[in-house]
Amino acid sequence: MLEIGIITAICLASVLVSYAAFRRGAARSADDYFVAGSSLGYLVLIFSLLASFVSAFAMFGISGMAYRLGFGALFVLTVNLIPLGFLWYFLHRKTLLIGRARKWMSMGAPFGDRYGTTMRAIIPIVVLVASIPYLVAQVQGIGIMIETMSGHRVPYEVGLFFAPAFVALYLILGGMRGAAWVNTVQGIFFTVMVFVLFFAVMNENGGFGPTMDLVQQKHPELFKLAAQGGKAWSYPMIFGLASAMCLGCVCFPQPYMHAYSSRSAKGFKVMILVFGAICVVVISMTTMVGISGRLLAPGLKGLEADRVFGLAAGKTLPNWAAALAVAGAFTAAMTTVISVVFGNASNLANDLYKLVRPQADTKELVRLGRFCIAGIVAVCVLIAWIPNIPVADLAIIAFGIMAVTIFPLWGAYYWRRATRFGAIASTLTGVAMNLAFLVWGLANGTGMLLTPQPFLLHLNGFLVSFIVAGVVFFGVSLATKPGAAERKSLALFFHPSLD
Amino acid sequence: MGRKRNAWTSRAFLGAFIVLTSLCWCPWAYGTLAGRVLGIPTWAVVAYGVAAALFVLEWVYLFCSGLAVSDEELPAIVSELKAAADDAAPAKEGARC
Repeated sequence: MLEIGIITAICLASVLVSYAAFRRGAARSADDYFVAGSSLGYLVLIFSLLASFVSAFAMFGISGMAYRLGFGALFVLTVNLIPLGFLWYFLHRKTLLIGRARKWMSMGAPFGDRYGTTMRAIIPIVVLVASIPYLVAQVQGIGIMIETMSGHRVPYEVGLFFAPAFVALYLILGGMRGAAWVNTVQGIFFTVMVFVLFFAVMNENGGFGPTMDLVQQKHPELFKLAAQGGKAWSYPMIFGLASAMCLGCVCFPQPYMHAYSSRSAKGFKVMILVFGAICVVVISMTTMVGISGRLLAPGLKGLEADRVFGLAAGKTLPNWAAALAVAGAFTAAMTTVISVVFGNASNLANDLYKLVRPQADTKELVRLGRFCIAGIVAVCVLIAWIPNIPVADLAIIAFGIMAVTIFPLWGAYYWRRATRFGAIASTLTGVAMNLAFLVWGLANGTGMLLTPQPFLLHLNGFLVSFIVAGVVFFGVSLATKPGAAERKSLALFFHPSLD
Repeated sequence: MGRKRNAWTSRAFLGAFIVLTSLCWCPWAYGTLAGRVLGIPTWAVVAYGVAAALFVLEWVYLFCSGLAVSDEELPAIVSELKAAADDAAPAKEGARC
């Protein structure tokens, strides 16, 4: 139980760091609580963004996926994220500039200012729908890890409650400023621990080259793509997963919140450029830890593969060091839960609740935000109770759902002819199709949201939903006339200073 | 003249970005490469190489091309936008659909 003790200590340290940061920052307005008063420097921005995205998915999910499917996993969360430098800049430059002028605090704000109140109300609901599988992935990953590290003495169902309890505690105490600092510390910590684990795992078989030689002798299929006769990783599958993850990254609440929080343009640009590069380095290592796990922990099937990260740590490091390595991944999952739960609470308070009660004051909004945090975490624990989808797949589903909002976002900033009807129809269609494919795939066991299907022209459900959402956006926008809201917004969203 | 040159430079960046992004999202031109380099599949090494090239391109675009927004411009742009925002009433006023 030493491992669980170390993990608990690190969680407690997170709470203390967060609370100390909160006490140091005197201002406690809603602006400070939600976006840290646009005052975060770029070191904090980079690591808090990294920590808010790199998660149980990146650690257990990707290592588990690499264990099952091999090197093709590099296209899920490493090289495919490098385009984010351009994509983020292109799609969120105006978020940074107009957000600062308009003092935006939530993801729904740009949509509300451009398309009106209906779109502003839809966005937080869409984000919440997409966030649930992502959060379930974290909670599920944490539960699996606690159970694995305790040698099954702490049941999975008890482990589910471990991190959410801490997360709720320090979110309620700290807010964004505290969370950003904690994310930074945790981001650096888990990055170091991934390095430690990677070298320990490779050292077990005499170095990286000899380890890969051994894996290839036993499992040559892990080194192949479908074009070479491998079972997985056909090109449509790779493209579907790579684009879903990258576009989903652009559309999740974190880039919005970090654009609002950025102190300077340079900080914003450094953040968006470095994020992908750090992901390539760190997550490549977890991918290769997963692949090498075939030697260390052979025979894991399906959901069991998500345990490979913890098992590899346990077999290659002393107990205390293994606990630290897993605690690094554990904190990564926690910071993601913080960031996503926090973003949702902010969206629900600032976008939905303010529509119902425009006169709501700061105190009321912060209180509501806390209730939302507790509610969202409780729902995720409930869903994770009976796990039936691997951590990696859950996260990709979430990013795929979120990616359909890219059309209204692009239209808001770059297409004068975009209408609220187009934005609403596109978003609802895309989300509904993603959910339909998810449920249908679960019912018949095909996983059609992520796996290419012959009847979908060999595309996966995400890509089909994405394409249809785009067609609907352009078609409906062209078929309808911009209303008063859209016409008025043009003066701001297409201001000459933004050219 | 400067604006025209900027437009062409932007298009060149966009073209390079589209090509390199398509290679980062799908190994359509190199996925059949066999063999291994330094222990990992050759196609994975090429993917890393493409990603590195794209990273450098993005760095040049964001920090060296003069096309991306800078801290010197930021205060002026934000104050102009604030003035424009005061004129353009926000969506909550008469924007229901």
